[in-house]
Amino acid sequence: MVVKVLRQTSIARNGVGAFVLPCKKITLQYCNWGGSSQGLRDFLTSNRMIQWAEKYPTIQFEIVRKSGHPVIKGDYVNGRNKAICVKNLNIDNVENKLKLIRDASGEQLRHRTKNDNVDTLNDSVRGIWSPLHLSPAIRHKV
Amino acid sequence: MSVLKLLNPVRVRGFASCARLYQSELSSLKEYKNTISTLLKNPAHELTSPNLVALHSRLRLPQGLSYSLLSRCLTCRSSGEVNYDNVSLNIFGKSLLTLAVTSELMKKYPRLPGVVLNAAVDAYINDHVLSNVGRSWGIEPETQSVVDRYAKKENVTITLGKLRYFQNSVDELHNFTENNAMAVAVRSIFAAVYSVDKDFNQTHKFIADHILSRKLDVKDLFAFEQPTRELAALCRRQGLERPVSKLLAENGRLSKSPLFIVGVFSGEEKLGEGYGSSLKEAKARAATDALLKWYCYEPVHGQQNVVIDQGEVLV
Amino acid sequence: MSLTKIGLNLSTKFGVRNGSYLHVGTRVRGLKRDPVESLKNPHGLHYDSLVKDGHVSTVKQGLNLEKYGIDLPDDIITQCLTHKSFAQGIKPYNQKLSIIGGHFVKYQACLHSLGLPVSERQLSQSVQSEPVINGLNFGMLGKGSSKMLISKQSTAEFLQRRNLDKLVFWNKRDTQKSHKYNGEYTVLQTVLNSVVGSVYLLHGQDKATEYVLHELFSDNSDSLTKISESLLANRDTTEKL
Repeated sequence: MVVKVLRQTSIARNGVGAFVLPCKKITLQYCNWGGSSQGLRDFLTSNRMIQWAEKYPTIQFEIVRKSGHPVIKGDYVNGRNKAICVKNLNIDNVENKLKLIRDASGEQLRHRTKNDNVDTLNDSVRGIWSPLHLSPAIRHKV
Repeated sequence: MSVLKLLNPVRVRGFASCARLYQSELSSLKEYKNTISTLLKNPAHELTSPNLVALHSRLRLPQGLSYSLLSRCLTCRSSGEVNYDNVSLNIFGKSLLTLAVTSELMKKYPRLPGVVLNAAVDAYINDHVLSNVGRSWGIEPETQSVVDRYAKKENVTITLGKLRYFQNSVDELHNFTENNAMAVAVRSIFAAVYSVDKDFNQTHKFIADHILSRKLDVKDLFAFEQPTRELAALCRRQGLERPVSKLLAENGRLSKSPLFIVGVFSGEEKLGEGYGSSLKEAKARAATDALLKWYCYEPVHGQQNVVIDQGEVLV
Repeated sequence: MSLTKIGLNLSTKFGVRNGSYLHVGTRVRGLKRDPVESLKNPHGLHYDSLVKDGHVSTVKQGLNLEKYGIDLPDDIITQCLTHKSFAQGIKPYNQKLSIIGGHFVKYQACLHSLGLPVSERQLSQSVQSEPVINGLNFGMLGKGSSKMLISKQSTAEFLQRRNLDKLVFWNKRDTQKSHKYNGEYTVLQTVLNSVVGSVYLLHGQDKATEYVLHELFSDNSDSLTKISESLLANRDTTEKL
């Protein structure tokens, strides 16, 4: 028999080669009337919003006026989104939240237990220790 | 009874007057639809769709690639945009991708068997993978109908930055799913990148960045049915001594879970090693290991002449 | 079972003498065939005589390799001429060379089609369409003429006109049946593709491009362009009849 084939799929490695920022769209939702939106309104009217838009052409910004508390929402390439309420935050705190949205990967946050801090596609460089490859003199035998 | 009610002349007449009332609405809907087509078809017109601009800069596409061409890449024939779709771009993009990936794989693994080579190429550029690439680029499919968009008074340029493959009419193309449409769009973008400076090396770099950077372990593609027999045939063809399996180490032969380490040797040369809970299993693993070492051989880049393999052994 | 022959195999490590029977004549399942008999192609040419009798240089001349300064080693030429079906794959065969060569030829055919001027027929078909993108004519891709350019029939004809089809080593499934049943055109296509593939691998992409453009897609009467045009014309006339 000749060699048979098992179908496989290659796995994406963002950043090896090209890097695409996972955050594709940020929606800034504010209210024109409510006091809790004051910080976001300040941010939008200040020069910082324009600076952000110029600095990150890869992100699509959408500004929505809607009554209620202000919300910043990020859409990510993995199909998930992340929404942060920025009520009563001042302009600097709003910008910090915006940075958080920008830097997130869109993955669900999860707690890593001890000894579960390596996540890799590659084999161990050092290899796995084998008791059967020791010298026969000191090898344990059942 | 209900049918008769429906056909009641009074009701029908009422409907007619309603239709007349909404005539102006209908014409403006048509106008809305036409605007999309004209915007797309007019390459001189500079499109300023926020999605397109973001996508363009996200992929770091060359400046010469216009937004209208990018939008064309996202427009499938099934969307009903007659004669301004990505069908021909897709054909060229596919041939570009296959050539780039195949030549790269052949240079990296010169001894891969033909079927495995094809499967490896497929693992990089099949529809499923390319649709995932498209999603990781942030391409969104258009899921709303024209009427919905019109009712929401959405800006016409928004839809031009989305993957348009859905037709409002009933006669939809068979087997053309969102994944297929996404893959077609991605291939078209590669073709569009080539069309800008007509340089294979530039396009190859773009392909290398986005496709060849993906991880694939070619060893996972192999499935040997009779590894020992195949190894024997390989040794015969290569003029090596007959492969002999030797037990290297063992533990717990009489226990419930024995473990054997078997090495396969050709003369003094060790070809491979395998483990197993029976001698037979370990022997087969050792032969598989030796075969994989032969077929997945990687020459040192740039230090050797090109290796042209004579093909896999046929048993 | 007309003749028998006993060969001695002394090559094993412990010097055990293995007598092996080599069979000559009609095929019997499970018996090893004598290489003198089995290593022959459908035209009766022996595999070893390819290099010995200077057939390799005939191939080089037929394919005009020297004109482009391409020097392929004899063993690579032999490999290109050998199909996977020949002698159960014990000789080096052209499968993978033809894979890469086929993709390259397909790519070049696409480029060839992109470089064509926009024809009147094309304009009449689609009034509002814009086939030209950045100066490339994308309208002809996937149409009949582009497909015919690198079809099996054209490539087979290409090799037949250069009398190279008799030098190809493959296993004919049934000598009585037609080329369609035996898949002769597919085999011939792998030969041409693998020649291009080995040029691509050994001499780089530029050389391969030059070879494909000037030898395969040129205006010569024996080039693929002319062959495919005549094949298309023939097909049109038969359809009309």
